[in-house]
Amino acid sequence: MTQYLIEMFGISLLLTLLIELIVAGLLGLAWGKKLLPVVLVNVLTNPVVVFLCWVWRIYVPAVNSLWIQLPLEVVVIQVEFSIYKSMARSGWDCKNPWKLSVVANGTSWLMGVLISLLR
Amino acid sequence: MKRKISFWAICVGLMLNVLPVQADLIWEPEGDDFYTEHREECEYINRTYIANGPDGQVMVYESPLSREVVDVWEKGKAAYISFAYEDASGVLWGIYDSGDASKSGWVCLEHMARKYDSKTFCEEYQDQLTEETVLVKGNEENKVLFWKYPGARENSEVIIEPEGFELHLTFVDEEGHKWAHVGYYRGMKQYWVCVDAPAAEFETLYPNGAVQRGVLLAGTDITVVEDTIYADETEQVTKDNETNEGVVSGEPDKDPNAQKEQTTQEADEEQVSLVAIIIAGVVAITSALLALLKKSFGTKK
Repeated sequence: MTQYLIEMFGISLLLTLLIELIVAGLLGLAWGKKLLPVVLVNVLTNPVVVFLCWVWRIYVPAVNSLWIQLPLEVVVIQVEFSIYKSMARSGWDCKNPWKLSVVANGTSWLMGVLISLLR
Repeated sequence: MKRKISFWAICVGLMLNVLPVQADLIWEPEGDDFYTEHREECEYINRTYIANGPDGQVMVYESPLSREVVDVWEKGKAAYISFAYEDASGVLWGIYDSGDASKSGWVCLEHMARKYDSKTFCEEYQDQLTEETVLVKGNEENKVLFWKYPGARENSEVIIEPEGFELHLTFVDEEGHKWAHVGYYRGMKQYWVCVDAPAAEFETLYPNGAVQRGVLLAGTDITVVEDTIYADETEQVTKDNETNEGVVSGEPDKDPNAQKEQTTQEADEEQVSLVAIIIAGVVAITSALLALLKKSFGTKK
């Protein structure tokens, strides 16, 4: 069970970080310390989302977990946008926090769906 | 135009002819959401299984992914399993429909042993079956005993037509009795009759006991297929090649529950709570780091 949980949380976080960092880079954020907020924000939100989806699958198995994934994704976009915006106000070099949050989360979610379909 | 209409009329006619036959051959469980959703992934197995789980019990779950137990079976309960589903961890689940939706659900087939029956017998003795036509007639009361396989202990009494009926697949058992296979006769499916003595009881046919086919499930008088037995910590009565009396053997097998726990997402409430606490810790630490990072940006400005 422990191995299963480590794989579930670990792989999900690593893939999300990889995708969102690439997206952040493509959106113009410089590599290095400037990407640290993106890493921390994902460490904050990803395990919570994965945990809630896992609990959903255990307790509400009959209902497709897509029904919780989508609202959660919307909440995550909002939370990440708020943090990025707050960071940007404090001097972090991110010109468009809203775009970063939407594009990065949208891409990572779509990639996740694609990977689960291919498995 | 007329040709086209005739062609389609023939096609529709053929389809109408075929559809009811299919419906008659394969019964599908109704009202099970999981089966409806995973119908394409389920395999038709059409077999009777016997409950043989660890601690003498088998849990019936709402679905292979659910933790909700809808019923608990004691060892020895017979259940007809129509379809099986293999989950992501390779665990095979069978659907059971009791007719009562609240008691119907899915059982782990690792905790069930397949009942030894006519089909199993045909598979095991395939090379000893002969295609020949024999006429079976009943006794003076037109009584014939139907057996699940040659050497089975239980039988069903059937009154047949005085002129008898023909069968086309035979088997000669170890005592020299000729048996014939009944595919279907008056609602009776997959049976055997003894052609030499159609109304003779077990003791008459086998005064010294019959060859044990399959394995007697420990603690019961039910015969099951040997390789489907879940060997728990208790000893199993296994096949004796010579007589009906079993011998004791049995190596403890690994517990499929433990195996399942390692490979599936099934978790108890304690584990969920523990994961929740760890995640709360991660959230707290990350929030603190984010606050520090924000401050560092502010200082630089």
